[in-house]
Amino acid sequence: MEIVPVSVGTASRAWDQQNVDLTSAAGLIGEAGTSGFTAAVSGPADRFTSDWQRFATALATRCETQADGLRGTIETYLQTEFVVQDNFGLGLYTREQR
Amino acid sequence: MTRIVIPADPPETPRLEVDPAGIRAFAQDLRSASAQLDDLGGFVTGGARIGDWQGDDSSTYHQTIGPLGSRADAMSLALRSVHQQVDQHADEMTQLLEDRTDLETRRGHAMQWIAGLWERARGATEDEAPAIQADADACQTACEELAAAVTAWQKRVSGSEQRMVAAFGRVATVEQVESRYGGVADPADEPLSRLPQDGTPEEVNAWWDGLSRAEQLAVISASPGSIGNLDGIPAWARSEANETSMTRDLAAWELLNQNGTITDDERTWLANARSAEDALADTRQRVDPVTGEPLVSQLYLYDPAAFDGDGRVAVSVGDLDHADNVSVSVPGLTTDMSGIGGNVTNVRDLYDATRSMHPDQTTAGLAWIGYDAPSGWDSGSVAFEGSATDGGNRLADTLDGIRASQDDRSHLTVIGHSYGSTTMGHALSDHDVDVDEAIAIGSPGLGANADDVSQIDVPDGHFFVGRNSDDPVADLGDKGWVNKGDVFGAGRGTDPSTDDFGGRRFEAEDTGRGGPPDGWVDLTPGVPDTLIWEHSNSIEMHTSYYEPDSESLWNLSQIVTGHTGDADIMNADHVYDPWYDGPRDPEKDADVSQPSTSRRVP
Repeated sequence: MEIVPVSVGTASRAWDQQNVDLTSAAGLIGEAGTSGFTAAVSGPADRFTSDWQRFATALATRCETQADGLRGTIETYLQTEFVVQDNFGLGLYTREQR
Repeated sequence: MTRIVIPADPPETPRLEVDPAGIRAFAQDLRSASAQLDDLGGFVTGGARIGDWQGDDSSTYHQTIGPLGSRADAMSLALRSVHQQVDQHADEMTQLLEDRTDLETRRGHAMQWIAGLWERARGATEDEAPAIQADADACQTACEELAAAVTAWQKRVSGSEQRMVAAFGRVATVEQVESRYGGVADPADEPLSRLPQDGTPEEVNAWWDGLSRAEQLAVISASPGSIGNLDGIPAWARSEANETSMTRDLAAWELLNQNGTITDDERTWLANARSAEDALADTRQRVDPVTGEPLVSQLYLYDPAAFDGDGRVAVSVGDLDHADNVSVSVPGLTTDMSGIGGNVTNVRDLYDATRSMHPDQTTAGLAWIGYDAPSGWDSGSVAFEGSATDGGNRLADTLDGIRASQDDRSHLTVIGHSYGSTTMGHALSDHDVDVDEAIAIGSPGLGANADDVSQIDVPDGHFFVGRNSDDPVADLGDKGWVNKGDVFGAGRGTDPSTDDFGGRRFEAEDTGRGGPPDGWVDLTPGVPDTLIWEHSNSIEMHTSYYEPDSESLWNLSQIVTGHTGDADIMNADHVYDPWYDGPRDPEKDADVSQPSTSRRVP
């Protein structure tokens, strides 16, 4: 049986924070105003921000997936017969905070 | 009949509908997003690794996150490259707008020339015709040159547009990003590895100056937190780095605020960041009183979480790197980051006055909230002296940083208001600093180590004091004979406006002085036991030193611009304390003048 240390729970929270940061970065890109450009540039700029908002959002989703994966690992571990008592408060990390 | 050939009207330069400031704001958003992506790359190789987790699940996890980090790094570099092109595009468009104005001016002159030729030709005699034709030929040449310049200008416009569109197109897909930037070393990494740890401002500045322009921009984008508040880095670079951090912070905390998961600490930091953003925007929408150009404002310090959420911030009015005169204004008690707006307003008033009174000199002022000014529960007297000492250390570092980062030495003035003058006093008495002038206004004293002017590090004859005779806070300091000791323990050493201290006092009376004695006034909000029975407008008398058209602002402006001769200042007599009576302030009975701070001083 593989032991799952508390640091796995800490890492899951950190991945959640990365998700927040990347989601906000995606928002920054998507909401970057393109009206300052000339007409010849503003169209390509709009398309660029739209595409890049999607790229950044996809990256944010992958961060969330990492967080969820680590939480799943903790849950599975806590449900095994090997763990009779959650001495280190791992269960706290199975709940997503943000 | 003689025929005179007059040139046709030259071509108009096409309109250029573009907003360089808007383009720069777009660039700033991309840079902040790039920094966020860069952080993810760093996280994957650092904090995301779980060293004490063993087994198959751990192996799978660590194998999975590697590509994610690489993707983030590549995207960060790609976005940074676009940011740099956007920034360059904004520069080019700014220049093209200026050039268009010049071309249209030339066209106007040519049109006038042509109209004049027609006028002369209509009533010309045979004898006059050759001279008019020669003039018309010269005009024709000028028109052709102008037409060629307009064509070249149009080519530059389209060239800049094409380069911008191409930059977008080069990284339009994730595949392009991976192909172009996957596995590419970050150009900021090597320079950052050479950044002097705990270096002096001079060492930091030498490091910065040794970087190429491309490396400097890479460092700002990749690691804004490393240099944003680092003394020795030029103000322009600090400001770009700090604005990158601020934009990123605002986006993240606003998102958390919207989805309801923001913590109390983060809410405080968000409010601090908004205050800094507002102060910058408010200044940049105003114009220089002489040139009419938008004001430069730099975010010199930015740390919204510092000092348990009080925050640390400094915002300039004017260009700190290149101004002839630079001043640093240090506010007093209970000042925290949320109050930066009011402090910047004061500095802006000083800026407007210095520019109006001496338009041939450039000036920059810095509203500096760089120390933990006591507020609320931590405002006790002992806490304050410690705070002022620490603040003095930080202020001395800031002054050293400004000196080290300027290519050309500016005329540097430090201004301490209220308890900020005590912080200033510690900077000047506990450290070797290199200022040209120091000014205390509304001062309760310069702290435990500054009993007189010989104990502060200011050139002889260049320490000044402004004190409204009706300012109750300025009344707190020790005046010597009868008034020995600090009033309520709230004074901070010798009153610098006294004759014993030895500074140069200037007139700083307010037309509103001497209001009715009709209320209890809390001199120092937050400090226990400083309620006194005073004029109802006493606090106004303490906070009006930067008021336009006041004696105080006029004198501050003279000193900041280096006009410090006896005839340049409205001199005031010192406070003195005769053995037979209490302290006396000769200014109490002096006439109050209202010198214009918006008019040129001969």
